[in-house]
Amino acid sequence: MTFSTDEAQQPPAEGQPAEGEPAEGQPAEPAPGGDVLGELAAQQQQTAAPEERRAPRRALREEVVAVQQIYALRKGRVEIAPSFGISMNDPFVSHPALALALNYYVTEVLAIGANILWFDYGPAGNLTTDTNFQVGRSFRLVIPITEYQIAASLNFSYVPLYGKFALFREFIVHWDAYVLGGVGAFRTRPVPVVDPDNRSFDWGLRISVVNPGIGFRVYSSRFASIFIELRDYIFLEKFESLEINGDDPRDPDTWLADGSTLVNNVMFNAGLTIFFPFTFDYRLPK
Amino acid sequence: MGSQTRNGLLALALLALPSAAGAQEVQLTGPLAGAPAIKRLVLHRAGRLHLTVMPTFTFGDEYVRHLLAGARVEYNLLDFLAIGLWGSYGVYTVENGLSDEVQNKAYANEGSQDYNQNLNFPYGDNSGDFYGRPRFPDQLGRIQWVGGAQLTLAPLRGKVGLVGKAFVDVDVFGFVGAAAVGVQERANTERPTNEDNPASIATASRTTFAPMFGAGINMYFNNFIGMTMEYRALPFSWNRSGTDECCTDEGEAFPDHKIDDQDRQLSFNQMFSVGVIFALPTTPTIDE
Repeated sequence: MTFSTDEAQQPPAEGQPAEGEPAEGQPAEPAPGGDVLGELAAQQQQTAAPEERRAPRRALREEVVAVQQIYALRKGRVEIAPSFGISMNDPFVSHPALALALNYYVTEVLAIGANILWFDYGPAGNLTTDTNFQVGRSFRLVIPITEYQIAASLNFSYVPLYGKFALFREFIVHWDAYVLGGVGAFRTRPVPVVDPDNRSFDWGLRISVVNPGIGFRVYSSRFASIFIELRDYIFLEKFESLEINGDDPRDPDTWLADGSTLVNNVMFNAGLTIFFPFTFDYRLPK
Repeated sequence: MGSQTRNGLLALALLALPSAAGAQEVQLTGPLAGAPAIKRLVLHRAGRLHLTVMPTFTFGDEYVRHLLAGARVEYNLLDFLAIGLWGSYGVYTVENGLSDEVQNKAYANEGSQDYNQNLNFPYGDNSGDFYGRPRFPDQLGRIQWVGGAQLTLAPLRGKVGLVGKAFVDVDVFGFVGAAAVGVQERANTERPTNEDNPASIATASRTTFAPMFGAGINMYFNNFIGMTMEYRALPFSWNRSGTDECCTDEGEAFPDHKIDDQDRQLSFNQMFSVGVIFALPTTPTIDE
């Protein structure tokens, strides 16, 4: 093999392989002298040089979309949620409440906990409405009403929905929605309106069951959120008797109505949620 | 403070709260550095007309529940801003339990002429001599129609997964506006001086104007069909019970023995609507 400067300056003719290189489409010849690397390279060229390439069945994506981690994990964290609540469906007495909920997330979606509502916190609690006043004044009717002191409930919560909203397409807002239920109790008593001169009532305990509810949280940080919740507390209530015992109006056995009345106390709560601990670690699969 | 006023103030306070608590931190390094929050967003609103058929029902009423049939037409100037019109016509009303209790148990003084001069309840118990008289629901106020214009802001846009199987685009919106309301109330009348004739319970219609506000959520099932759920409130004063409620201000005597505009009381008149959205043109644009 001889070289000349003319050959070195001239590229190989089009379609012709360079000297020492296999022709296009032709497998490389195994390197002489038992060269392992050369043999491997030749094998790779064999497998990588099909006679025809198949056209892709669909256009390849130009970008890779990164999957974002869940913004705020809940598993193993304690949630404290102070809130203010108001009754939605009592036309005669308004029951605003100061509430506090405490939940522990056993899993990412399931929590157990409890909540307490305080109604009898001063002049602003258990307010009779204008409707109650006007019905009595205009039609000379008395409406048996009750007042609430305090309520508590043991709860199970489930978070079926989690998502993100874009705020004006610039910021990402994380949210989740949950359902809950449980059992609890209300401490209530009738307000004497039929015979207030002779009657007075003690607080009594009413067991509330099921207590279904639904809530919605928007996260402001990885440990804090604001939430709203709508919940129906179901219990059997005792009302004042509309009949007055003419013989002995001071007999306490005649003050309460016969039987109990099923009450659905629908409460709307809004407040803050704080998760403890404030931070969490992501454990990625290995 | 009445329950309706309290509920309305609560609704106002919630609407005043920021609908988003904060912003996601943007990664300053890595492959997402400088990247926008969203790419290739389907713009269900921008530049499109939304026609929505939506029945509406009132809630929180003291005496009468209303069912109204209506529609909303909105033109979305931007993907988060729209102007529109909403109208609704009352097709059905039903008295609630309180109304029935008043009719069945209200003041009736048999053998006396007092009931005839009772401006609030001139019926008695509708039995015996009182059979065939008008009934208490006949004097109740009712909403006949509503029509208004509104400005809608939809700052939140996202997706919701329904039991992890079906995914729909959603947006959350709030609106403010003004509306004209056609109401039917007990007509002006005075306590009769003639003990033999009961007070009139004739009703009269009038138009009043009210601010309008609310919030809701739209879900888009495909490019041109969606569903909306919204809460709406129209606070205005009207005489819902048809009773003499005037006057309790200082220097005034109660009652004044007449039914007139001074007996109207403020109510938040809350409503809830569920509707079907049709978007035109049928193909939305896609953001870059």
